[in-house]
Amino acid sequence: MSHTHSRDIRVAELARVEGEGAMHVSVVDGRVDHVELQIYEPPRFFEALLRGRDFREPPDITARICGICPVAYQLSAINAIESLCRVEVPDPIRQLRRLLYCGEWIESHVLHVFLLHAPDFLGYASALDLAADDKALVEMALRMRKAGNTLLEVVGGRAIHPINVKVGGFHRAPTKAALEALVPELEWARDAAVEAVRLVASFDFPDLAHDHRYVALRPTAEDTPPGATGYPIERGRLLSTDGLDAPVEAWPEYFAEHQVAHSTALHAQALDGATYLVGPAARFALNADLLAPAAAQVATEVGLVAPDRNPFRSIIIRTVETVHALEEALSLIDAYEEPDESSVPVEPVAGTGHGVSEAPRGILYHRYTLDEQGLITDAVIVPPTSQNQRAVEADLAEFVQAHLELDDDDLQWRCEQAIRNYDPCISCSTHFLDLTVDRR
Amino acid sequence: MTTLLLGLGNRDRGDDAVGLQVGARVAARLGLPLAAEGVLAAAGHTPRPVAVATWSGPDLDLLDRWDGHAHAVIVDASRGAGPPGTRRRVVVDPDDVTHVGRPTGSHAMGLPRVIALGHALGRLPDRLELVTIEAGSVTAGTALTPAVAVAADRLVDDLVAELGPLLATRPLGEVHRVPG
Repeated sequence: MSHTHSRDIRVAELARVEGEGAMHVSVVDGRVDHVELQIYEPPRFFEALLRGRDFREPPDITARICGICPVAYQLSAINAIESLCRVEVPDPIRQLRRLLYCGEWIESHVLHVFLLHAPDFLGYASALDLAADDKALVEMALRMRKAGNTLLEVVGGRAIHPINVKVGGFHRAPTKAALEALVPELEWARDAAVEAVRLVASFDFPDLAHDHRYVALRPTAEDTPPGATGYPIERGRLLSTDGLDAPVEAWPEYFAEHQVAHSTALHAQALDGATYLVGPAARFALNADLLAPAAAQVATEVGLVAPDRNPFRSIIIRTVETVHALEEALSLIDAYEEPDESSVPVEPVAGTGHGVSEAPRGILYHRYTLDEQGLITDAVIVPPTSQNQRAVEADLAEFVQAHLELDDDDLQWRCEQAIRNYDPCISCSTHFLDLTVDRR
Repeated sequence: MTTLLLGLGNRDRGDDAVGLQVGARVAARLGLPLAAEGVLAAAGHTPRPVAVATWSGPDLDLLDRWDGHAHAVIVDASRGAGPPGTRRRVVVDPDDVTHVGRPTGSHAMGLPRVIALGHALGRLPDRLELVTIEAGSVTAGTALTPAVAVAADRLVDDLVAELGPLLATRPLGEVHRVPG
């Protein structure tokens, strides 16, 4: 007669992540049997919605997928369509796109680092509890976030779901003076972000090291407009820590999505079976040499070395990237010259176009097929959270296995913290969390 | 003292649009610029004793929306507070905001948590009022249901009657001249 010892821990609603989902961990006889990240937000059918629409519509339609990273959706869509239609936009438009994207990185990273993730490391249940004890820290975060939002408003027309972005450029280009008015607050935010890197680097990080393949964009010189560093934001080639170096068009040759029973989000997977990871850790691993000077300097000062394999330390990288985005925004504003025209004409071309950009959470891939009238006959959107689900489950399995001595409450807390390492955006990917740990 | 009327909601979700519609209609009736969706139409305008804004973005941004106002009246749709169209008005006691629940994603921080955060940070208006109209349907792509539309009409009239007289007071910043 055999005796099976099981343990069951359940988290029904994952906290402090973007969207709604759950997690189930099953432990049998002291071994982690399986981990499932259960994304139960209903499917949103955006790809089907795009079929039959005009080729100029994806930036506005796909921006609605996410209120946190709409610019990522707009720029990946634009990259795909402009690539197919063989359009090159002039430098000021490229600068404005990158500047707009910097605003999104600042807003998204600051929100996640200080209001969603830092409370884990500081022993608070939420930013609300943190604010009661450290008002200055939360005020600093809110002011930094506002600097990003203001950038989005000035360049994008509004902070949520920007309305000024179009295939071919912008509906209206901001004046140099309007951008220069933002400089003092961006300079304050950059200096505050440098201090924030020092703070988050002092946190206590659990031991965990994974060996996932890191995949990120790496821009070429042609991808980089005047005033910009080469750090990947709005375009680049596909690069990995184990040798991949391919153009965006090769994405389907290396990656594919498949359905899993426990999630309304598709799982993306490398076609050779490897578990891969996109996002700040991957970007930093493959592009640390391209960081803006202040970001590179503070990264070195706090001992951040690429590649960093501890997912809990991603909070440091995310904060370094905030410094980068702020410094880059300042540089782009300095280099910006108002264009004569805010956009260039675009004529549709039948065929298939591929576009990528680095959303705050990692690579966002779009693919559109157009007919001769410019109507969309097929659309594929692969958000970063879909790509990272497998790596998150793998990390959780390893982490739970190493911490089975923790009681269920502590284990749940740590698992949720681990999930937040990836800043998952569940709304994007269903287009997350209820945690269950089942010990038998 | 400045009063902010702040309508919240989602214009594409049936009765959830009621706060936005009430805000826009009150602004129009009072001849005030509407600060909508983060685009500050009021920028450059002379400060007035009453401001009207609408907001559909993240709840967290409400801290910025009511910054600088001593008095804020928030209009939003409610669920679970009676038959559709039921209006409730409460003065928020931030020390009594207890139903903040478990922290969730920033997509849905929720008004109670934002009020609690604002209270912790000292970023609440001196007086914060919440006016709610009970929703009948929040189905995507639908108009206001009849009972909510009627309640919205009455609320607009009442708010215009309440806020209009405040505009008759001297503009902010005007130097009071002593006759003679």
